[in-house]
This record gives sequence, C-alpha cells and structure tokens, in this order.
Amino acid sequence: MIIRTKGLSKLFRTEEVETTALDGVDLSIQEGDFTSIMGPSGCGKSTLLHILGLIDNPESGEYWFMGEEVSKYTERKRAILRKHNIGFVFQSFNLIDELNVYENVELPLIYTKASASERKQKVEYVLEKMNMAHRTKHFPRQLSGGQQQRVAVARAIVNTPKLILADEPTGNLDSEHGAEVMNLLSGLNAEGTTIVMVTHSAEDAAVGSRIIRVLDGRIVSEAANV
Amino acid sequence: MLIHLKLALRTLRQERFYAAINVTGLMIAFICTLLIGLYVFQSLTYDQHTESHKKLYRATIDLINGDSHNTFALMSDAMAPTLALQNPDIEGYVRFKTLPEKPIVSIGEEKYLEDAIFGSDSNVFQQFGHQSVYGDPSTALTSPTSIAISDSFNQRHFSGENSLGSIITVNDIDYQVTLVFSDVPGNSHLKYNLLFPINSPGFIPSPANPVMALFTVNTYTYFILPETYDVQKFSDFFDQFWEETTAEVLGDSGISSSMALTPVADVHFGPTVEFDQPTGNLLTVYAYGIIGVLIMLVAIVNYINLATARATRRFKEVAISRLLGAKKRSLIMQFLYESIMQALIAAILALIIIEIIFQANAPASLVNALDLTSLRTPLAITGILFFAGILGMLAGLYPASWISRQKFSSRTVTSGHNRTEPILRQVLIVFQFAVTISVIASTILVLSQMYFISNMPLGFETENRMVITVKGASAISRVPALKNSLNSLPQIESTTFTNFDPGVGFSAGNWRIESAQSQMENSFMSYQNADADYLQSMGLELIEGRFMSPDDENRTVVVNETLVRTMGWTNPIGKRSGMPGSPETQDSEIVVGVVKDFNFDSLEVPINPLIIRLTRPEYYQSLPDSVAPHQIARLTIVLSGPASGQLIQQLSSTWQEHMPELPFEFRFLDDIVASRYTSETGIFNSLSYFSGISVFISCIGLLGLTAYTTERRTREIGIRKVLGAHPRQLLGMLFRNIFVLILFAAIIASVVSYLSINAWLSGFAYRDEINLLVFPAAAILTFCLALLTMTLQAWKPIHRNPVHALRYE
Ligand SMILES: Nc1ncnc2c1ncn2[C@@H]1O[C@H](COP(=O)(O)OP(=O)(O)OP(=O)(O)O)[C@@H](O)[C@H]1O
Ligand SMILES: [Mg+2]
Repeated sequence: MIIRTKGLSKLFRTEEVETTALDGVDLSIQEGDFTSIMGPSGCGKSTLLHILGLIDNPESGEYWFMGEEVSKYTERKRAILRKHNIGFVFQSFNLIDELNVYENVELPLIYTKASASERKQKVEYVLEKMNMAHRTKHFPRQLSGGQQQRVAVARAIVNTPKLILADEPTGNLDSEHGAEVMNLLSGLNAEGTTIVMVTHSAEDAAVGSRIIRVLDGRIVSEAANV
Repeated sequence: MLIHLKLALRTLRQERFYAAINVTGLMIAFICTLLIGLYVFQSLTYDQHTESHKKLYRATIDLINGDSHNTFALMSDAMAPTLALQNPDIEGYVRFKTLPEKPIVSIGEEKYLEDAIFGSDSNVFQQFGHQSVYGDPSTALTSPTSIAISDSFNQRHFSGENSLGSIITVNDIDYQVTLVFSDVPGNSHLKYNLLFPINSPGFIPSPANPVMALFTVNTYTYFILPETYDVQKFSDFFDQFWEETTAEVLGDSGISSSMALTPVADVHFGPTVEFDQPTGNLLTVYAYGIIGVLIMLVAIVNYINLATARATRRFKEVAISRLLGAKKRSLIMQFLYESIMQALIAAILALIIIEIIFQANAPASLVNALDLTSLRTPLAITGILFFAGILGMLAGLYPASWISRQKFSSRTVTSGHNRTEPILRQVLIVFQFAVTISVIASTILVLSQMYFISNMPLGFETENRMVITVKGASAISRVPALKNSLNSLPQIESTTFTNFDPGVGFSAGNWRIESAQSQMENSFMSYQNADADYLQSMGLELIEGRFMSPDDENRTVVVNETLVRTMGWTNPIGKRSGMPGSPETQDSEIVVGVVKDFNFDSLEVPINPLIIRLTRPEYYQSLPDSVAPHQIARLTIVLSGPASGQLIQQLSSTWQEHMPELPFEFRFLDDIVASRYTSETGIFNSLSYFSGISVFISCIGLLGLTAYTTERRTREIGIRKVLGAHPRQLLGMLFRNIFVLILFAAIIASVVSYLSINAWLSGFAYRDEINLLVFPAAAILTFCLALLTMTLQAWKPIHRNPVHALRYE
C-alpha cells in the first residue's frame, strides 16, 4: 500500500468565506496502481493531488505514505520524502521561465545529485520520448501549451520516481500527442511506477486500472477498470 | 471570486506595509533634502538679502614688506573717508570698527563679554537691509553715546519690550539704546548684535597725523560703488593714492600696500585673510549638495523598486480575475495617482517634522546654521509640494509603464523572451547598491578625515585648559598674585600668562632679526607673548637651549624649528631679535631656546616661523593712561581633569577676590581650537547624522529591492522545492544574482567615491590617507544587509508548503 488516507479534509479560509475543498476522503492506492481521478471543475481534485504529493498538508485526517503517517510532518520531512519518491505534473505546468527546456527537465536530477553524464543521458532520453528533443534550447514562453505540457511530464518522470502525480497531463494536447503521453504513462506503470492522474477525459481515464469520481470534496464512486 | 477576494485582502494587508515603507523612506529623504537644500541655498546666497548687495564691495588691504605679503580684512577707519574724497566713483561707504578686544558689556546687574559689537556709520541699517523694530534708523547713530541693538539681543536682555532709552554700559561708558533693528540674517559673513557710532568715546583715538592714521588696522570697510564695477580700476586708483600719500613717510623702506575689492556676496567663500570673519568652505557645501541629491535619488529608486514589486503583484491579481482592458488603464492611473499622493503626504509630513524638530529640542548646531524663515513662505511651501508631486509622478512612471507593457495572456506564446531582469531594472538595482556602497564608504572616509583633523597633533595640549581674559593694565598687574592663589589649589596643575589665546593666538608684524651672517634684517614674523610657565602649561617640547625664565634680566625669546630653518641658523642660541623702534631696545631680545614646531595657525596653512617672547604682567604697569585700560591678556589655568561645578565655583570666588571688577568668563582651549578650523564645525557633526540617514534609507531601499526580487521568484522557489531543492540551495540561488550585481556596483561605487573623496581631500592641507579597505568593507556590509533582508523575505516561501508559493501568481 503506497497511499492510504482516512477522513482527509481540507478547508480554505479567508476573512469572509470558508471553502471545504476536501471533505473526509478515504482512499487506498496499491503500489503499481494506475488511478484516474475525475470530477467537475472545483471539486477538489488538484487539492487532493497536492496533499497526496506532500506539497500541501490536510486540515484533518490521516495520511500514510509508504507506511509512514505523514499528515503532521513538517515541511522539512515532507521535502525529503518528496525528493526521492514523487514526480509531479502540474495543471499549470509550472515550468521555470528563466530556464530552457533542457535545464527545466534537468532540475530534479541536480537536486538528487545525479552525475553530469547520468543527467545528460536521462534528460535526453525523456525528451526524446516526449518528442521534444528538437526543442532543448527553447524557453517555456517560446513553446506552445502542448509542448510545455510535454516538458512538464518529462520533468516529472526524469528521476524515475515511485509515484507520479499528474494533474490533467493531456489537458492541452491534441489526441495524437495526448495518446503519446498516455502511452508513456502506461509504459512507466507497466515498469512498476504508481500513477495517480486527474483527467476530464473518459478515454484517458480508461487507460488506468481504476477510476475515482470526486464531487464537492468527496469520493462518490470507485470503479475498477477491467 | 473567493480567491480574488482573498488575494485582494491579503494584498491590502501587505500594501499597508509597503505604503508605510514608501512614505517613511520618502519622508526621511524629504527632511534631509530640505534641510540640506536650505543649507546649500543659504550658503550660496550669503550676503544677498538686500537688493543693494550688488553695489556693496568689501575692501581688503595688502601689506607688502619685502618678501612678506599679508592680506588683512581690517584697515584703518580713516581709509574710507580719505579715499571717498579722492574717488568720485565711491557713492558711499559703511565701516565696522572693531574694539581691540571683546568689551565688557553690562546691563543692570548683568555683566559679560560681547564680541558681536562694532562702531559703525549711520547708513549701515539702510545698506545692510535692517528693518526697525523700535526707533528711527536714520537718526539712531547720531549721538556718540547712542547704541543700536538687534532684535534678538533685545529679546534676550529686555524680553523683547521697547527698550529705547535703556542704558547699556560698554567698557564703563554708558550708551543709550536708540534703535532695535531686525537681526542680521544667518547667512551674513559679518554678524553683529550691537552697533554704536564710529566716533564713540569707546575707541582709542586714532593718531592725529592723517598719514600715520592710515597705518592702523581696526575696521572692516565696505564701499558702495556702481553695480558690476571694475574692481581693478579701484586697485589702480589705490596704488596711485598710496604712492602719493605715503611716499614721504615710507621712503624706500620697501613697505607698500595695495587694496582689493570683493563683491560682498563673494566674501563668504573668498580666500581667508588675516583678521577676517569665519569664511565658508565651498567643498563642504558641495559635499552636502551631493549627499542631498544622493539621498533623494536613493529614495526615488527605492520607491520605484517597491512600486514595481507591488505592480507585479497587483497586475497578476487583476489578470487572475480576468478583468482586462479598462482595468489595466485604471491600474496605471491608480499607480500614478498613488505615487503622487504618497510623495505629497511624505513632503507634508517632512515639513511638519522639520517644524517640530526646530520648535522642540533641535541640536544647536542645526538651529544656528539654518534659518527656517525662507522655508515658511507660501511660495516655498507651494514650490516644495509641486516638486514633491513631480517627483511622485516620475517615481510612479516606471511601474505604470511597466504595467502598460505587460500582456495578460502570460501562458500563451509571447514574442521574444527575457531571461533576465529588464535592463532598466538592472540599472536601478546596480544604482541602488552603488549608492549604498558609496554612501557608506564616503561617510567613513569623510568622518575619518574630520576625525583626523580634529585629532591632528597640534603640538600642544588643549584639554582641560581654561582660558580667561584679563582686561586693563591694572587688572593685569594683579595677575601674579592671582596665579599664586590659583596654583595653590589642588586640582590646578599650572597657570600661564599670555597676550593672546594660548597656543593658537598670535600676532604678526615687521620684525628685526639676526641673520645667519650676523646681520640685523627686517622680516615679517609671527609672535606670541608668554610667561615662563608657557612651555610646561602648554606641553610644548623644547629641543634646544632652555625656555624663558622669570629671572631673565633682558627680554628673552624662544623660536620654533621652522624659524631656525628659514633663517638658516646653525647655532640659534644667542641670536638677537626685537621690535623695530627705539634704537636702544630694538635688538635686545636674545634667543635662548628652540621649541618643536606646533600648529599655532590654521591647519590649512603650513607652519610659519614663530617667535615666543617673554612677557611679564609687570610690563603693563608703566603704560600711559590713554592705553592702559585697553590692554588685554589671557590667563590659562591647566586643570588636572575635567572641571567640576564645584571647582568652577572655587575658581570663580578666587577670581572675584583678585579681579572684582571683571566677570569670571572662561572658555576651554579645545573649544577655541575646534572653532578655528571651520565655521561649520557644527555642520560637520550633522554630516554624520545625514550620512547615517542615507545609509538607513539605502537599507530601506535594499529591503524593497530584495522584496521585489524575492517576490518575483516566489513561484520559482515553490517549483524548485517540489523538484527537491534544499532551502540552502534556494537561498544560494537568490544570492547568486545579487552578488554579481553588488560586485558590479561595488566597482562603480569604489571608483566614483574614491575620485570624489580624493578631490574633496585635496582641499585640506593635512589630509588623511584613503584606506582602500573601506571599499570592500562597504561592499561586504551592503552584501550582508542584502543577505539579511533577502533571507527574511524568502523565509516564508522557502519554509512553507510549496503549494502556497506555487499558487503565487
Ligand atoms: N488557495 C486557495 N484559497 C481558497 N480557496 C481555494 C484555494 N485553492 C483552492 N481553493 C478552492 O478549493 C476548491 C477546490 O479547488 P481545486 O483546485 O482542488 O479544484 P479542481 O477540482 O482541481 O478544479 P479544476 O478541475 O478546475 O482544476 C475550489 O472551490 C477552489 O476555489
Ligand atoms: Mg485542478
């Protein structure tokens, strides 16, 4: 069991309003699963992914990540877990504008202290796979939305993390490129990487082994894809 | 909507912080700039408060005797009327005749020594632009025993009431107040509180012989001549006059004279001449001007940096809510409007605070140096506010234009790419750092020069030395008894009797002195008259022979090293010297010793030859009655430590026993010395305040700058955190950029401040070495400041959940 949550809740408070983004989420994900999360906009999918990815903490509830109860972990401890285990594809890409494609993809490897030759080899490999090898010297602003998305995916997988969290990784892609990304993800999954993906596309969701539907911060249904 | 609201509210809270920083920074800058501006303005408009100043010329006279050449601000009171009779260009003249020494002024029971007192011509009030508070200026100085007093003098001694007819006693002569005149403006080179007629009985009568009368030096003389008069013409006229008038008396003695005119507005920054009033130093004024401009520039750059940071934040906030078009324009307007408002508020607060500073307990040096009246006029205030508004607009222009250049669709393809900060921002950042570094470095260097000057070994002791004026031959004859009484007090180390202020007071004149070839020669020499205790009391160092002794039968003298060198003496002991005059005494003074050189004159000139002559209080006994009461001498009391109130009490009562007719008024030698170096000693102290303030404003600027830089990179911090960056790596990343900029700024700042400080220092005769370590030190300090503020700013995004930073757009 790589992920197990119990009664996970998240509240956003401002002076005037309180938004319940997550409301008692119980979720278990086995190592090697490919889970798709679906639901209407604003239902809390990204919030859930952030918490699962250890870049945000829940308001209440329990969260076991690889057997550790991490919901009360400090940012410092979470950072260590994140660094070695999790790859993140953001809904809004979050590429660094000042770095070119190659440098963006290389970053996680720098932080895990990979050697230069290892970095070069891995970066070139994923960029090749993402069909972005011809754009290594470009800056994010010079790329189309789809291209940026592929760079974001490349960056998330370059370190071969145990868990990949992808927030609408095909949202900006045409069907051809979308299919490529899905192929890649299912390939990684086949090699043993656990994948949790948010998507609005039923077709993409079908690639996974399991679909979770979220509504107003709650899991409303779970269906296994056979 | 919720996010928008939340962001808006969050922004507002942070805006308050920014607004406070902005207004505070601008306000401090305005205060400094206004005060400095006022100072510079007043310095540059010295003696220009009347329309007629353009027709007013101050005369100086040169005394030329062989090789020696001395320029005096004082000349004979007979000079102006004599010249006016012979030169039709002279429309009039105003004279200020000095008393030989500070007179004792008494009003009722009160008794004190006054120095701002002159005998003057009756047209002085009209020519120097004085309004009447009480009385009629045109008739005020008609009676020889009338006296005109300044408004502030009237405030001090007559509590501002109508004092016409009151009696003021000056040196035992009673004068009747006939006029209260408006004060001499602070930026006048000649200051006076009391004026009585130039023919008052208080003056020693001039020699009856009209030619001999021209040789005295006692009067500041101002001529009224046509505007833009050719002053050379006047000098030529004087040469001719002098030739004709004195040929008979001087013969071929080699003594001659010339006269020069200076427009009165140029006197303050003119060359220093003998017996002049304190003059100003243009270098100081420029130093201030530069600091003032720098402070303002730093504040504006601060503002721009901060405002841009805020613009980034607010722009994105607008973009998020997707209210495009009109919103953008209104945001630009809002920015301009806001920065103008903030500048105005800052300016108004600055004016109020300046007023409060001056009303309350302002440092005396500040109040004395500055006259706020020119700031209080509606015109000045309007001008200042207008200026502030313009500044505000300029400061708001950059952020506003930044907004107008932004594209809302930041995620779509945009043409071109800017990998780094826009050039102008880079320039601003480098400028900000360069200014901070040079302000710190220059401040250290300027202060170290001031410290150097004030701690220059003068060659004699100045601490704990109390100087008291003894007036009148009869009082002087009682000095030996007084010295005995004083020397028996435990806290008193010694006492010494001199003609002038000890150490720094001297006279200069034509002298007879034995040459290396044993010939008696005429030479222009500086001399001090002192008793035998002078060496020990002043801590002078004897390097040859002995000091004068009370047992010396003849008048003995001691000379300084420079004199020995100048005369080329190989064996100074036994050389003869003396005052030119009666043959039986003129060569009777024998050199008995040589003292090490000490700075008896200003530090701006090299040390000159000096003769120290033995004087004794007894010498004063045989003087004729006409001059005896005017004799002046000094008694210096060397204390073993700082003077306590109790000791002063004790000294005062001992003084009163011996000198009942004289006030016990003392000055400390270190104060006398300090006041000699520049008329702006007080201003120099305030220089350190101003520099401190500019460093402070620079720090505020750094805060804003780093806030902006960090703010810009908040999202990047979040992304890098998700990708596994350690906080240390993130801080390192932030500093790397700044470090390069600081390095660049440090180089610029070092070169600029080195050159300017070097130029400034070259105005000093004695200058401190520029310690080159100052520049890297200032750069490191600045870097540390940047590091500190950056760490504070970046702390939150680095240590919070990355999601907060990621959402930061
Ligand atoms: N920082 C925040 N402050 C306040 N409210 C927030 C914040 N982040 C998210 N929310 C709210 O929490 C709810 C869930 O947001 P979330 O981003 O998880 O939605 P989502 O399911 O990912 O939507 P989408 O499909 O559009 O990406 C929304 O109602 C959103 O307004
Ligand atoms: Mg989402």
